[in-house]
Amino acid sequence: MKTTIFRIEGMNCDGCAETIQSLIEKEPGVRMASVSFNDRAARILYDPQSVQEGRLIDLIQKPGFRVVDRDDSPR
Amino acid sequence: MNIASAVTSTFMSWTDEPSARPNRRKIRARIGGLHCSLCTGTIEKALGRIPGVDKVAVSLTHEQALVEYDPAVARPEQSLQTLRDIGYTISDPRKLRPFEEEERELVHEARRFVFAVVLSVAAIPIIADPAVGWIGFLPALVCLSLGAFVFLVLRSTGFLIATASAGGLAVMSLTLLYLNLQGHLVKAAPWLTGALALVLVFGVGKHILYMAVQALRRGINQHVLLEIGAFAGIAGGIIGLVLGRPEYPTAPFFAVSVMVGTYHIFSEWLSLIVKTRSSQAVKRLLDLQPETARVARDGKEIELPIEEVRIGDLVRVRPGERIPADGSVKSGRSGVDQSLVTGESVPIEKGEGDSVIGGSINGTGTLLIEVTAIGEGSFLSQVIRHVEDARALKPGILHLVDRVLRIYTPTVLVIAALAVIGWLLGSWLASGHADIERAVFAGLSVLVMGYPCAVGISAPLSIVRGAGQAAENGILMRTGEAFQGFRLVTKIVLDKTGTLTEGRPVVREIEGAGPREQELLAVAAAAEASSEHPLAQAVLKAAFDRGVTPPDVESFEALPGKGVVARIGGHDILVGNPLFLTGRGINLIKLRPRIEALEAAGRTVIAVARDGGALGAIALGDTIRSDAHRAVGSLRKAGLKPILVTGDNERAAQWVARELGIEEVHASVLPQGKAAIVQRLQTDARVAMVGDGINDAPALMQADIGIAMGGGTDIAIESADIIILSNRLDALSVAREISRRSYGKMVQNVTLAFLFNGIGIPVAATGLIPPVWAMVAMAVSVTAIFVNSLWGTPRLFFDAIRSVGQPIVNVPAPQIG
Repeated sequence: MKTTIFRIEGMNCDGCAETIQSLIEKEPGVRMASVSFNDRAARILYDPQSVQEGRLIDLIQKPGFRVVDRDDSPR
Repeated sequence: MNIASAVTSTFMSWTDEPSARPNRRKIRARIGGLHCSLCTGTIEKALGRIPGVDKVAVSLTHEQALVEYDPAVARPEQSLQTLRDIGYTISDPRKLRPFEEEERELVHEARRFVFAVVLSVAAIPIIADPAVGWIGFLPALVCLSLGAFVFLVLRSTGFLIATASAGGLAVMSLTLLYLNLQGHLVKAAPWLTGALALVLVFGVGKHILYMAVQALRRGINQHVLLEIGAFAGIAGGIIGLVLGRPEYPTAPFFAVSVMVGTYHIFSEWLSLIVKTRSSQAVKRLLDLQPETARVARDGKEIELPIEEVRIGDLVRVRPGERIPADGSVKSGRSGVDQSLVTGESVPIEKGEGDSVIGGSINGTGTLLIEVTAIGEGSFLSQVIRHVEDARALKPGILHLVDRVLRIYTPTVLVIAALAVIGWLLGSWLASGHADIERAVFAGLSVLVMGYPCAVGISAPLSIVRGAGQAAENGILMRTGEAFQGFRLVTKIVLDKTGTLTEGRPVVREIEGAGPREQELLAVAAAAEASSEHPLAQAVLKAAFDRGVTPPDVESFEALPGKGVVARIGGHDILVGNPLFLTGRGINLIKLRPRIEALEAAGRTVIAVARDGGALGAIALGDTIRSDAHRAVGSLRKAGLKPILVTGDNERAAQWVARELGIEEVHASVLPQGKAAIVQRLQTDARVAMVGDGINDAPALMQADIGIAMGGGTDIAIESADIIILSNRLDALSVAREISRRSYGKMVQNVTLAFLFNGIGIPVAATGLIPPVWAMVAMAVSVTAIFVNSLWGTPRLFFDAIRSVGQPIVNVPAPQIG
């Protein structure tokens, strides 16, 4: 299990955060996700064996947001 | 799951069934022809007089009667015949009217209105009299407003048609006005208006005549009052034709008949729109998909409609599905969420041999179920029976307009009679011979003036406004009771699970026997990560929220109903219920007091052990919704006494009640028990009930005001008067405030409606004013009510009218949470 924080640019409101969150939560292998507009970040708990980080970045960027940074081992 | 489809559908116009009391039977019948809240009293009286009939309950909103009788003395046919004799029709109590039928009726009623307007707009210019000065403008105003309505009504069929029709009306009316002012109509006017009046009363409005005649057999209502006015106008006109005097207002008498008829048809149509719209809004919320079940027969699995499932069938239920029927588990294991059925908030593990209830939601396992009850015998059907019983037993609310009419109508008739007698006597005393002509004129003037046409629109218009405001707040106010009754409520019964609480478990306490909380959570979450059991999900969520990443799991085995054995980071981990851990030789002595205390507080506790030693325990429980505190507080401030009722156990109920400061608590209540509690509370107060589950439905129906949460079950939504689409608890206070304000508007409107006629009647009784003044009173009061109701929010009204014949637009989906 792995938790990664993705810094995201391009979110305009809480609605954007919700859009991203529901996109990510649908992905198999993702256990928990929380996307915050205030922090401009998504925190995702996932199983690296069934979903790769690159796939998560693609998911976030598909609607037009940009992942500018990621942090693999918070805490 | 809707009521109509869940009950077997053998057609019969009424049902006869055993009653709860010994040696008694019950008739349930749907009644057609109920027009006002006075009718319910009439029926109850008429049926109550039949020997052998013990109890009669009639619900106006649901057009239903429930009659309890002694089969040794009375026969059901007798009661039903009595109902027919006093002018009501009887139909199947279990039929839902299809959307198309309702829409057709609306369009039909709208056509009637347009036709009536044509007659009115023809009549007004014919009687226009430039000699009366400024009053001459009022008819023009009436014509204009009626023309505008025609445009609105026809707008949905196309802009061109609407414009052409409104234009046609204008041309017709101006032509007639021109002819009139040129003096070409002096001879023809009485005959023309007379024809218009006859066409309206006996043609366009013959259904009202029919209803009035039916109503006459049992008392007096709006329709009767209207026909009295209309016939008085026609009688006045005919007298004028017979007398043939030029100064006698023959044409205006006829014209008044046309006008009152038009306004009455308009108000009928308006109430129909209000009624239809709310019933459609409710239907839109319901999941009207036919229920099917996957039945294993002859080695194959087939999808069958739920009606075709028989006792003994094997039914496959997949994860997340609703269990289609009561049964017992043949094979498979799964946690089953029965909270909507029983109110218990934590899923219950079901395995081979356990019984399951139709309507509960299957968890993550697949179950094969042997059906043990179907149709009438099933749990859901029993609930539906209770809902139906509650429906008829629900205390009625006498509608404001009906209350006023009960006094007003006889008063008008008495004044008319007094006017006639007064003139006869007065003229006889003064001059020696009775002035019959003047006396009849005065009497007829009173009757013509007596019909308060604006009264018909006063209630629907305030409802249009109130419903619009409610909708903006995510509230669906469905019935007249919702507007007129909520303000009277002094006790509010609240369901616990899903209403005051979230209805799903979250981690509430963590008890570490050594290591830090985070480590405990990490281990527990890792072990539970592969399970989708709601408790496991709650643990994982708690870990994630605290920023804990569960370590990787090397091996994992789930023991359903007990817990999980896993190997994590080289350690043997046990997570599960404390009994399971003790059984595996874990010493929980140090944690024991805490575990017991937590369980006593209504929590579900899971214990965690590593390499044979206890690590700690995690307590999970339902949480109180974040808005519950404020909502209960503001209800109390508004003078309502909150009462908690739940199917869940005493401990869980007491905990929630204590948190929210609710004093009266009823726990472990069976579904039919909730309705009984509401009924008991109703002996000294008007009661509202708030709930969302199947088990709440009978109580929602029984309560004076039933309030369902938008995310609730279909049967709860169908049983409620108010539906909180936004699912927010603060909407309760908002709904009450809207009810209060709407009622205020209604009182203002009804006052306005009666005011002008009230002034007019004594004046008319003098026999000195021409009948055209009745039209003036009408025009002024209708305008005043429109302005009063829709000031600032005319859009609500236009939207309501324009929606006729339009495809259903979806309301925003209710948030479930």
